Amino acid sequence: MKLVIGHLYPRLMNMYADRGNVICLEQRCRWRGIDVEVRSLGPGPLHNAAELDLLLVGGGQDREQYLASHDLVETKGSVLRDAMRDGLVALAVCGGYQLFGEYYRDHTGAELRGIAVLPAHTMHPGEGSQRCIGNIVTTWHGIKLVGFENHGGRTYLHEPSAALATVESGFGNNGEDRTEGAQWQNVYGTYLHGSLLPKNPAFADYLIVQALQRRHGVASLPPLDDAVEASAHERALKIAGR
Amino acid sequence: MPVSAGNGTRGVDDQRIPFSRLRRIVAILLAKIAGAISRRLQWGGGTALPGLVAEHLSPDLLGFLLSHVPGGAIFVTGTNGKTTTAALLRNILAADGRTVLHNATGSNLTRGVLSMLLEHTAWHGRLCVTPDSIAVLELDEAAIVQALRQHQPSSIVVTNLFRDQLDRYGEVQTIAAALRSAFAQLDATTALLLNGDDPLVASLGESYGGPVRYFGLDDPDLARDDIELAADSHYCPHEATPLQYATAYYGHLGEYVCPTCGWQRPERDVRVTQVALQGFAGVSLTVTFPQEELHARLRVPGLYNVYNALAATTAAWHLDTAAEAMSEGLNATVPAFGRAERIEFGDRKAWLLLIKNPVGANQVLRLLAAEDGPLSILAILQDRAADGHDVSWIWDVDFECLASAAVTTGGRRAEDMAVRLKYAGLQDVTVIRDIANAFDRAVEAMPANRTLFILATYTGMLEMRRVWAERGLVRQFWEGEE
Repeated sequence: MKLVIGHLYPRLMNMYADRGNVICLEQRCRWRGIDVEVRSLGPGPLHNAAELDLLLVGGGQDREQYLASHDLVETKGSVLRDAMRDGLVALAVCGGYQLFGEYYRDHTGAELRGIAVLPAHTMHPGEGSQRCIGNIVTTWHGIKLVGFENHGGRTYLHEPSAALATVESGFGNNGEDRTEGAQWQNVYGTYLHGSLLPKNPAFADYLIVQALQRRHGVASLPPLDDAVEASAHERALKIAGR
Repeated sequence: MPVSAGNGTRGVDDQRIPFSRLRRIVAILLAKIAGAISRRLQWGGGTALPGLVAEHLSPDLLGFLLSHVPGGAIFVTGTNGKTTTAALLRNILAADGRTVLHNATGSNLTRGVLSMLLEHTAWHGRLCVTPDSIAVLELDEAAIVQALRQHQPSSIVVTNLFRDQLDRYGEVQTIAAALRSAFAQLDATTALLLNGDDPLVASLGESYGGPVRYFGLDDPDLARDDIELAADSHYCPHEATPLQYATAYYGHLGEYVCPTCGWQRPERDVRVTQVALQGFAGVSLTVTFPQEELHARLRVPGLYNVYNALAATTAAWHLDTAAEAMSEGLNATVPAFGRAERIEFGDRKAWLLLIKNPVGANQVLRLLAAEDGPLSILAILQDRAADGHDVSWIWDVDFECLASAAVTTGGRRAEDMAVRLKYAGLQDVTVIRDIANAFDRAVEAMPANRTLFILATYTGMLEMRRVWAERGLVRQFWEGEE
């Protein structure tokens, strides 16, 4: 059994060390005897999208995000949309999350188009506005997710049911409606760094199972000893005051 | 009173506005009193408080005092290497017989610089200087912009610009833009001394109207196959094109060219042409100037310190400093505060190594990986303001190269570090959050005569030293320092 992970823009969109998510998925598969292949997907046409089981994208600096958005929308957009409509499991963090929505309106009012797989759009409230920075705790299907957020844009969902999680402490999508992240089919967007998956192994395994189920019909995974991850998770809850 | 050598104060005229002179005297007096009280009550070394008080009462005091330094000032800024570069330059100029005003304690905000200057200032506002006095000031990337509003230095050294504590400093492109616009306000008598191997730093020299000198490395033996993942600015500043690297040293430093517009690494005036890295013992190197060559030994380790030596010698060369003084100053410099400091206790040794961002931490790990035998490590991860609240960056550090090491993790985020190390493939990891206990455990678990390598973020480094001070290890500790 093999899992193919596509790491979208590993150089352009890796400002907050979101490669930790790739490392996490890779190791949690290997520890269970599942082969993993990680493909770096830089700018340019995307071939063999149907071979991907899991797609990951992180956040970038403003300039890099602009470059990535151009490539994402113009070059890869229709292929990726088709693959995700077909059930490809994808996790987009921060800047990547914003680009998976319909558009991002920056502090000057200029609009950056997204690939519109997530029913959301993002607006920057303008120069001089506060960034959403700090530790964040959310609830996802009764499970707490912990991470760190750092974003200027505020994301608004087009339907409340599209939220990935509910904010317990921190800002989340926009600091107003307590929603965090977005979801459509097997595509997940979130503002949580940390990196997200290593400290939230339940969510990591959920993504792996979804991906394996789709291609191999696997419905569950053998458990791992997650004591170290659990203590880091506990510690993050404590520091966030939860 | 000594007169300034063309380094004017901006926006102050103490002749026509006697009130500002009075305010200055009051500010200096109160700042000195505050410093004395703070030292008396042992609120730390008193490195920031006097400056903070003075800055509030007399906002242009920094510019006023600096305008009375006969040799003017050299500002040193950049993400990594500021403290060591400034220390190297200070020692070179001292070896050349100059009197150097220098904020040695690493307090690199304007208030830290001001506190240092106040120590050399009489209560009535006169700075005690000699005709050969010169100021070497380390300023962080935000503080230099404030300082430039008050004083125009004779030169500015920029070491590098890497991604660093995003919740504190913001994006590296934003920092570059702020520096570029601050430099554009200067009247072009200031020289920019720039790391030509760093594309973002090199681009700061492009639009500048005054003199620009570049420094860089030329030793193909030290090249990597590709730029590391932690590199940030590998795109051309003019085109939406990744730069091509003929040689990559570390981070995004190397020999680059834009395949679209042809923009490339500038000609460099001062180069290091030969490097022999000797682990923690230091480095021997050859620096090539337009007219001469210098062979020198460094007691600060690693490739990153080669760049610091290069930055310091470039500044010294720009001041026409004699080669002997450069060599002497380089060799006299021991690692600054927490940056590869050594302590000994009983039959054991420990190195304290500051880590604060991915590129810098990878450089430190490269040093460790070159050591023989299995390693004993204490890794202290904190998330206080001075460390950056966000600890995500450890996932961009290549801890995989330590796979066979025995590690104790400590600090407020000891558990996060343990998770990172687990996923890097380390088997032998113990978590003890309390730093003193973590240190004891790491020492206990270590075979006799082994060296403990302590990797610590900024406040973790301070706390480790505090523990040693309480245990009286401090005397041995301070012997290693100047």
